[in-house]
Amino acid sequence: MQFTHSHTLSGKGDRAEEFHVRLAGIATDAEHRLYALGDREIKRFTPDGELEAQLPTSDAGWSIAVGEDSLWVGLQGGIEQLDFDGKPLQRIEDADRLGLVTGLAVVGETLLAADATNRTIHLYRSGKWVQEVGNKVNTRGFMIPNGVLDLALDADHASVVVAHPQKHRVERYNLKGVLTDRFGHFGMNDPADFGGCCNPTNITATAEGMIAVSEKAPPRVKVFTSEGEFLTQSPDGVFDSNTKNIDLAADGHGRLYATDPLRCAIEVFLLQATGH
Amino acid sequence: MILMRTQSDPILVSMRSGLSAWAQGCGLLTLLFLMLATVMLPVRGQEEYSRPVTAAPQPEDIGDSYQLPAVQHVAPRSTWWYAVDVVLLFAALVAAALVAHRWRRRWMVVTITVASLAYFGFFRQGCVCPIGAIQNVAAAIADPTLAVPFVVVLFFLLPLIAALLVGRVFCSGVCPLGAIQDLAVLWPVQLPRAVDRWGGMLKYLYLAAALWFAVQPAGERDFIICRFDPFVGFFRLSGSAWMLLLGGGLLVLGMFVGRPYCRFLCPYGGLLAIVSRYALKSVCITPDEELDCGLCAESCPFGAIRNLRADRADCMACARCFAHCPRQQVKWGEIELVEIENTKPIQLRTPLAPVEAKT
Amino acid sequence: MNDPDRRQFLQRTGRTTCAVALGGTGIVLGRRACSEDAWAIVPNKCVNIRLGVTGSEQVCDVCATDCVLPLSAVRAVNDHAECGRCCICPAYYDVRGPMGPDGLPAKKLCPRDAIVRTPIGEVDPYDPLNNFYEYTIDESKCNGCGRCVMECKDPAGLGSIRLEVRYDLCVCCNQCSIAQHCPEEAYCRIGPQPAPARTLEGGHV
Repeated sequence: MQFTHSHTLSGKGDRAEEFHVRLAGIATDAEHRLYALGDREIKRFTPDGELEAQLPTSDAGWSIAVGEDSLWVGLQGGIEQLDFDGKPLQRIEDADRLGLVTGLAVVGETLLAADATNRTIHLYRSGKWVQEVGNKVNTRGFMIPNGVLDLALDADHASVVVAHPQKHRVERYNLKGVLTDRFGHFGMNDPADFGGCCNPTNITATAEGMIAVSEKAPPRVKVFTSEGEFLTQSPDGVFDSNTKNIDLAADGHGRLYATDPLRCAIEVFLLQATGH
Repeated sequence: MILMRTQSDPILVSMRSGLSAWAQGCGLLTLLFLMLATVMLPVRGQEEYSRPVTAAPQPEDIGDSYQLPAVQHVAPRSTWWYAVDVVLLFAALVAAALVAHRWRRRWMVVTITVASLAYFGFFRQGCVCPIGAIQNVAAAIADPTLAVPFVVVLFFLLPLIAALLVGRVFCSGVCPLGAIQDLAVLWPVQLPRAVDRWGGMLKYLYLAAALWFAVQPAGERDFIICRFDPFVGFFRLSGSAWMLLLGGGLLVLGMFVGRPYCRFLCPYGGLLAIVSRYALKSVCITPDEELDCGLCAESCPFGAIRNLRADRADCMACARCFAHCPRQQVKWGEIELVEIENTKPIQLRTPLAPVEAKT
Repeated sequence: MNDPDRRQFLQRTGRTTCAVALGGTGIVLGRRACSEDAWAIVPNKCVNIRLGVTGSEQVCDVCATDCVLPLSAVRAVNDHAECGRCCICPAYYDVRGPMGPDGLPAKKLCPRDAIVRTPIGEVDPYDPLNNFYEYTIDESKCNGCGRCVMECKDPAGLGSIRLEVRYDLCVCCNQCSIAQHCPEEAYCRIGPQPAPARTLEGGHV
C-alpha cells in the first residue's frame, strides 16, 4: 500500500472555506463530495476541494454522516436530519437517552449513534430507538478517556466498526448489536498495536473494505484490512503534534480525509495499492 | 565629684522640639500614606490551572457507590497569617521601643528576644525577614514585573520606620538573627575601636554586593543574603553542613565578641545604622539628665558607647547599659542618695572610682 | 566645635531624606504588592506541565532535586475528577518497557513507586481492561520528579496529574533553590503578574 499526503483543505480563519473555532467531523457522500462539520455549519467541498456550499446547522454539531438522500448531524442530546440543501427534515430528540453524539453511521433506515456521555451506541430504526449496541460485552460501556466515541459503517453495509480507545482495539458489531469480531491490542513499539492510554480514537471504512483508524500522541492514521491485518500508516509531520480525535472519512476514489482539530484543517491522503 | 550637665538653654530646646515635631509630622504623614498604599492595594494573583475535561469517568459511571476521594491539594498559607506576622512584628517593635525609652528593663528585652526567636525564628523558620527583604525590594524596584508580597514590603519598612523614630529597636530583640546571637553573649570583650570601625564597614560592602546581585535580570538574580544566612539552618533544623558550621562558628565567636553578624556583616544593620543616625529619639543611657560619669562604658558588649553616650548608629537598644547607670539605680531604688554634710553636690553611698570625663 | 544649629539642620535634613526615601519605596512597591506570599508553579511555563513537550524521557526534575527539604515540597497531585481511570495508565506503567504475561506493561514508571493503583466500582475480575482504576499518589514517597505528569499530559493523557507546591511543607525560602534552578522561570512567587491563566495555552477545549 502507498499512503501519501496530498494536500490540505480548510484551516482556522475567516475565509469562507475556513472555520473560526472548531472542526468537529467530516463525511463523504456517494458522489465523493466532502462534508465538513464545524462551528455551526456544514461546508460541502467538491472532490476537487472547492467549497461548494455552506449549510447552517441549528446547533453546534459533533458528528456527521451521509445517508442516501440526506445528512445526519449528531448534537448534544439529539440527532438532526438535513437535506443536501441544508433544510431540516426531522430531528430525533432523545435527551433522556442521548448524550453527546460524537459518531454517526447511517444505512437505509438504520441509524447508529455513538453516545460519548453515556459511553454507548444507540441503534435507531426509522427514528425510533431500538436497542443499545455493545453493552453486553462492554458491561461498563465503552471506555473513552479521550471523550470521543467513533464508529463507521463497514463497506459491506452489514456491520459497524467501533474504535474502543481504552481497550486498544477495534470492535465489529452486526446490525443486531452482536459483537462479531475484534482486533488490536496494546503495544507501543509495533505500528500494528495501539499505544498510549487510549487509542485508536476515530475510525472509518473505505470502499475497498479497509479500515482506517486515527491515533493521538503521536497523531497518525493507520490502515488495516477488514480482518485487522496492519497495512500502512500515515507519513510523519502532517498533523500538529498536539492534535487529537482526528476524524476520518474515505471516498471511493482512494482518498482518505483526516481532520486536524487543533488547526481546523482537513488533510487529504491518497491510499493506493502499490504496483498499479 | 560627679559632673552634671544639663541640656542646652531653653530657647534652643524649644527650637529643636519645634523642628523635630515638623520632621516628625512630615515623616509620619508620608509613612501613613505608604501604609495605606501598601495595605489597600494588594492584588490577589493565583495562576489557575483547570482542564476542561468532560471525558473522565465520574462516580455514576464507575458505580458501586464509588466516592471521589479528596484531591491532595494544599492551599497556600492564608493571607491572614501574613497579617498576623506583620502585626506581631509591629507589636514587638512597639514593645522594644517602649522598653528602650520608658521601661528600660533588660529582662523585658530578653523576653522579647526569646519570643521573637521562637516565633520569627523557629516557628516561621526565618522567612521572610527584613534582612532578606532588602533584596526583594531592590529586585522589585529594578524589575517591575516581579511579584512583591505586601508582607515583604512591610517587613522591610517597619523596622526602618521604627529606626527613624526611636532608633534600632528592631535589633534589640525583634530580629531572630540578632536574638540568637544576643542569647550567646556570655563573656564579651571590648574590641579596639579601629576593629569596630573598619569591621563595621564590611556590612556596607555586603549590602552593596547584595543589591548588585538582586538587581540583575531574572535569570542571573541571586539573593546572596539568604543564600549565606548563617542562622537559618538552626531555625529549620536542617541545612548544608558548612552553613551550619559557619553559623555555629559565629555563635561561638559571639560568646566573646558581642553579635558579630549584626556588627560586621548584617546589611540591614547597615541600613538601620544610616537611618537611626537621624532618629527622632535615640537611646539615652541615663533615665533623665545625661551625665558624664562613665560607669556604663564597659557595659556595652557591642562597643556602641562612645564619649559616654550611646552611639546613635550603633546602639542596638539591648538595654544592658541602663542597669549600670547610677541615676537609673537611684530611680529603681537600688541605691539611695544621701546628703553629705557641708558638701552641696550629691554623692552616692557606693564608692566610685573617679572617672575622667570627656566633653 | 559643633555648631548646634548646623548639627540640627543636618539632623533634620537627614531625617526628612530618610522619611521620603522610605515613603517612596512604600508607595512604589505598595501599589503592586500582592496579598499572598508563596511560591507556585506557573503551568504554562513548566516544561513538565505545559503542552508541547511530551514523554517522560524529556522530564525536568529540578523540583525533585533542588528543594532544600530532604523530600521536595513539590509533589505530584492527581485530580481524581479529571482522571481518565485508564487501565493502561502511561503515568503508572512504563509503557515503553517490556510487556508482562497479562498483556499489561511489566514495569512501573515511577522511580519511587509512589503511585497506588486500585480497581474501583464493580470490579470485573476477568478482564482488567473492563475496569476503572483509581490512581493515588503516595505523598510520603513522591518527590515531584514529574515523570508521571509528562506521561499523563494532554494529548497523550488527560493531564489530570500536575506538579503542585505542597504549602504544608514549603518553608517559603526567600531565595528558593528550585526557582534558582528552574530552567523556564516557571517557579515564581505568586503575584499580580502574569494575568491568571484558566487553561493551558494551546490546550484542547
